[in-house]
Amino acid sequence: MIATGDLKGIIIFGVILVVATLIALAAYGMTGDMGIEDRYNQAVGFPTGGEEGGEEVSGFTIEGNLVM
Amino acid sequence: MAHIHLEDGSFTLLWVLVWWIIALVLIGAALFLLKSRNKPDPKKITIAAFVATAAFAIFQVQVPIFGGVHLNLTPLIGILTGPLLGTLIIFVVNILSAAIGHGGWGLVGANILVNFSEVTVAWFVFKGMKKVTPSLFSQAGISTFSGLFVGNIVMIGIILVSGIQGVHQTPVEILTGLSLLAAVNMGVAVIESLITGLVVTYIARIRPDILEGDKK
Repeated sequence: MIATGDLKGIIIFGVILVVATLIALAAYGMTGDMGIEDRYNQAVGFPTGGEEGGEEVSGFTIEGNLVM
Repeated sequence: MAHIHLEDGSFTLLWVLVWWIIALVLIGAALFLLKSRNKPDPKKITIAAFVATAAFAIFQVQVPIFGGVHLNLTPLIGILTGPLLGTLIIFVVNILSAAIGHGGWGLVGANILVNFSEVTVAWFVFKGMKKVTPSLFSQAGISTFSGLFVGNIVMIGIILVSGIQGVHQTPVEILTGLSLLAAVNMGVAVIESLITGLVVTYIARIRPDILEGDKK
């Protein structure tokens, strides 16, 4: 049984999450699929693409230049 | 996230220095305020070390969501350590990140300001949210989202004020592009809010004394 106060918080949080997710998905659809560096480059007017990809494991990559 | 992912040379030298100077003033103020208090709490220092390590590690891992982004953990830093220690933590994390090629050195000052806003806002909102709801999960989640949202605003403001060298876009076009970027970032903020909410709830269950923001 969720207390009234807890429920209020969860509702507020839930509304924020849903609205933010919808806005994010809309923006993602408008801008396309690209990495964060390409997003910044595109946003400010730099050329995009050509960045070397690091080693990838199940879609996860490491930022920066690997030391090892 | 709102961490500015632009290369060195994007800002003019003037603005690189301006943001660095402001960041150093903030760091100096944090050090002064910490030093003026009683001797540092060893437990707090230990927590700071752990969150600094976790934040640095998380910063470097690009998650395959929305094309590839990384989480920050800056709001969690604020919730667990407060804005003073949090300022020092984000300084260390940003310096080490630049050292391995994650962002330009010239952008470190600006990124410290972005992360400072995230840490501070999250801490303030977390302290204030207990008047709104007793749900710790919601308190942490909402404060995380608030911090990251403000971080995006600060990021946009810094870039607009500084301007970008070597591009022909108007400020309005840059604002539009950055707004779309910020909107995508808020999708990542949703994920980070949920994670932070779960982490804080778990900490409260096993070690409630650790939560800085809950201190009266």
